Amino acid sequence: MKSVSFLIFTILLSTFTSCTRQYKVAKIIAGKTYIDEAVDILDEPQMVEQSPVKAGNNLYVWEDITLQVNSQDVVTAIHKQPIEHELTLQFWKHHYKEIQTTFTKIQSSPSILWQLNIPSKGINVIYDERVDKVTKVIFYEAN
Amino acid sequence: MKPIKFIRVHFKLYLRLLRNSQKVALTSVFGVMLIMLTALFSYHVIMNSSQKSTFTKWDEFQSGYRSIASVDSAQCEFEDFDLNKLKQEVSELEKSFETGHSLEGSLYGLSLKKLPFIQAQFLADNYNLIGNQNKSYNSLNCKDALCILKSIYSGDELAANLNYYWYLKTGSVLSLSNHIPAQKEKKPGRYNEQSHEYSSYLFNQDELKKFYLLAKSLPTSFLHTPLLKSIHKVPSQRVEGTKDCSLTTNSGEILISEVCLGFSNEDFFKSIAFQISNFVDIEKGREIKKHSISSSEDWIYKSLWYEKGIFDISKKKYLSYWKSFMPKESFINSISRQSPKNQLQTLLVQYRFNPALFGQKTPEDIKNYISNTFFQNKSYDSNGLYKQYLDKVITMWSQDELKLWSDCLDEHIPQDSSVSAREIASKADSPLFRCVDKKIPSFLSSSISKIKSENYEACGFFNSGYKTSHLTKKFYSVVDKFLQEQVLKRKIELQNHGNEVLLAQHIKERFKKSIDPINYYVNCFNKDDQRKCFDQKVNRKLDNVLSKYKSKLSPYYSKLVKNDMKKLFSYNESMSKANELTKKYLAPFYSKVSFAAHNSWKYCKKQSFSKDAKVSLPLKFSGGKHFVNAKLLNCLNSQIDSQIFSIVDFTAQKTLDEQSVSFELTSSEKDFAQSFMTNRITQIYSSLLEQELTFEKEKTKEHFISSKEKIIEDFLTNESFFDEVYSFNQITTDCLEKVSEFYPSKFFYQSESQLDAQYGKGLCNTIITHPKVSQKINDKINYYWNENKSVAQDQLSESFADYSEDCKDDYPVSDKHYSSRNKRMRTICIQESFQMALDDALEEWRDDDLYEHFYQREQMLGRELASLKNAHVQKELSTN
Repeated sequence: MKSVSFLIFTILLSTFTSCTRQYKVAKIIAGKTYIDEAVDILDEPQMVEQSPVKAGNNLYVWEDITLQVNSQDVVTAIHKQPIEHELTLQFWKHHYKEIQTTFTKIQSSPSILWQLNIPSKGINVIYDERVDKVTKVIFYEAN
Repeated sequence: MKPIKFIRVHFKLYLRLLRNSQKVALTSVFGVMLIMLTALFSYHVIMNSSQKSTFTKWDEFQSGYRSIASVDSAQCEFEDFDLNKLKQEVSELEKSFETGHSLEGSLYGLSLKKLPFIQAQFLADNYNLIGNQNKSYNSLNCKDALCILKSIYSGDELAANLNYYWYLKTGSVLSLSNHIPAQKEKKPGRYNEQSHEYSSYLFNQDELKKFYLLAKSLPTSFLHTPLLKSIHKVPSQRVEGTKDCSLTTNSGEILISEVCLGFSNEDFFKSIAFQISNFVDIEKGREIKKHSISSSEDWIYKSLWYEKGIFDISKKKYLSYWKSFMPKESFINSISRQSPKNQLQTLLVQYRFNPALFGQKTPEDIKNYISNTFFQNKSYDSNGLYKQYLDKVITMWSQDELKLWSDCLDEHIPQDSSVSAREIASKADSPLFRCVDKKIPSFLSSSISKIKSENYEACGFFNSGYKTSHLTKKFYSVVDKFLQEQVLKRKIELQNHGNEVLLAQHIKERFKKSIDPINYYVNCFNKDDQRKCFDQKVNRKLDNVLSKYKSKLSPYYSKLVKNDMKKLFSYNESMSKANELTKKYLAPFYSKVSFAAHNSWKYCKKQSFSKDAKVSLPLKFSGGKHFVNAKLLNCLNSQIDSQIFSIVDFTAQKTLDEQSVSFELTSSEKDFAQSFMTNRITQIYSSLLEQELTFEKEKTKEHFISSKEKIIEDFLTNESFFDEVYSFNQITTDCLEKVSEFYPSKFFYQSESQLDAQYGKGLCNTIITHPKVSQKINDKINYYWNENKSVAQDQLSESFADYSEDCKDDYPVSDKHYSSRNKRMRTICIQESFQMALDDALEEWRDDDLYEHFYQREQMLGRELASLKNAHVQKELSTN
């Protein structure tokens, strides 16, 4: 009985913790949130490095989140690990089936990566064909 | 006096003395004890002398069998490709797949029912992979599948057998088709925009020989992989879509170019095994409810990977690469440094084909993980091979020993014999022992032959000139000792326990027949601690069996027998056998599963079509990168769990003594089988989806080509459509809505927005820019624009008139005294009030219903209204 209670408590606690994290991430809005606000929400990042694409831009890296920040310290893109139901590409294809999307191959090797871009929603979904899995979801400022 | 009388008289006198004299009594007791001790000592000496003689005999036997066991002169099966030997191997493999089922129908002019089941399945399941797809093969006049392959290979029987051997050994097909999947060109015989001879798609004899050797080299986890369907030869130096010479597709195919096929044996093995390891990675991942091992958190964490990715916002493109904190020297090659998946696949290949480098470079925890997860702790370096072969001999001995002894015991101690077993075994040179000793060399010889025929490296290992020769010598020496000990142990048992040994043999035989360790393993499959569960079950069964013989076996010997019997069924061996057997058991059902999957697909498509269903997550079959109608997808997934198992009856039939014996899976066996079949079904679904998608896309294209004129005509004649046309944007949206009425009634693999983008917009553009239609549209737009514009114009006139009236009231010109000043002021007032009237007019215009269609014309309208200023002002000034 004790072990069952402990198990239930652990499950509830982990669900609550993960939900809280999701909730926190949802408060960061690309194009609007400043990096210091984001750090307040997510705590100190594990790593900060320069963007290889644009000088002056930075990447703030947490274990589960990466933020792209421009030279004005505004968060421009939020990279997040997909949660359970988001791991299947079909979920995204169906969720946005009525919206104009583009699905393009972005990399052939070492993984076969595709991106499902939904510009009107500011979402870019990264899918690895070799393992049939959505590996990342990126939120950016919508058009 | 007669001697008997003399003894009787003196014995009576002695008894009387014994009763009366204490001294005589004591002397008598000591005498008896002395005699007994002497007897015991003598017995011990006799016993010892007989053990020694057995050792001696065994030693004599040793020298004899060494010469027999030596394989210096043995023929190496891998080098000469003797067609007859290959045919024998094929025939033996075929037998192992025989389930007693038959398939209906005919292919290539052959009745499938008349073929061995696995041949029928080979043809039925892979008919689109066998033969020139631009040719018909109905008049081959063949009686079996091999004859068909031989015809395709222009009479090359060796090539035909080598190709079929790969199928039997691995469960996948070496394609004989000139259609390459997942390529741009859909027409068979064309690749890379060039036409190719049919023969250039066929693996030639040299290439097939490499596949034959590879089949013998692949570890169990790489064989009968349900996700791998076929391997295709690409008639080109490179494979479309990759810089490498080989590629895997999501629907279970490996494409391989001529470059890879030209590699040396070793590089060829590595190259193909690398591609197969992709499927092994996914299959093993699914066992732990992950997409693959390489993408699991566990592997990423263990191998210290992290992904560096950045989204280029201006180009809307994601760029990424993987980095590992593991030192560079811990990676085997540059490919493995590219990603966790490449690392894992490289490690799997190197573990098998370059164990020395694997061992040297790989960190200990990863080494153990790979060994445990994928190779059941078997290793392939010289020592590993030595151990594997040794284990095989030990296992074979534990299986054959019983029969070997039983045969000799039956021969030398018949059931009705009055002579006891102990009596027969008491002599070192008893015929029973001679019989057993004689059988040992042939056992060893056949064991080594079996190892050689099943393992690629074994041929070299048992060749004394090979680099492992010291291990080969060690192998023989250890096997000698092992067999010596085992036989000696039984001999001593027989001498010491006599009939108990015979009874134990009987129990073992009964036990061996009555217990199936695979069954125990399968029943423990879903348990948390499978090994513990397995051991408990075996122990319980052993105790149960032995308890029946409690009165006949001494506790000591009973314990010995129990330990002996335990060795017959080790957990690892049972697991390996269970997996291997289940894969083999299920392989003949693949065509039925394929048939069931096809039927399920048809059934699901026949259901009422709906675009509004929601996907029920999680999905076993996800549809991969393609869009699949949610209702269809949900239905297909529900079929995996329920319908397919009721459609496919996994019952094997065998004939024994002209009577049919059926093997029906229990529910736990079905669960175990399901873990294999689910992967197979998803692989079949993936292939089907590719075919269905291509078919639907072609059909959709045809549909739009054939109905384009009709759609345009419908628009031209449909006057009501042009009733309310305000702008080109609005008419495009309306047109898309209207055009969608002409879309195919059912489309499963494209969303409506995809059809809009691919066909609808193009069609609407054609319709809208059609001279007749565009004229109509322009007329309508102009009509509504003028109507909309008039709202502003009317308001302008009205407001301006009001403002002008106010100006006239404020600055009357009738007053003579102020006439000239008021006139000037009135003019200024009227001129300035035009702007106010213009603002009012635009305000009113914005409130109009049609504004949403013409809002983009605001500036233009403003300019147009402003241009009216002079006319309006002059008009007002000219009136009092």
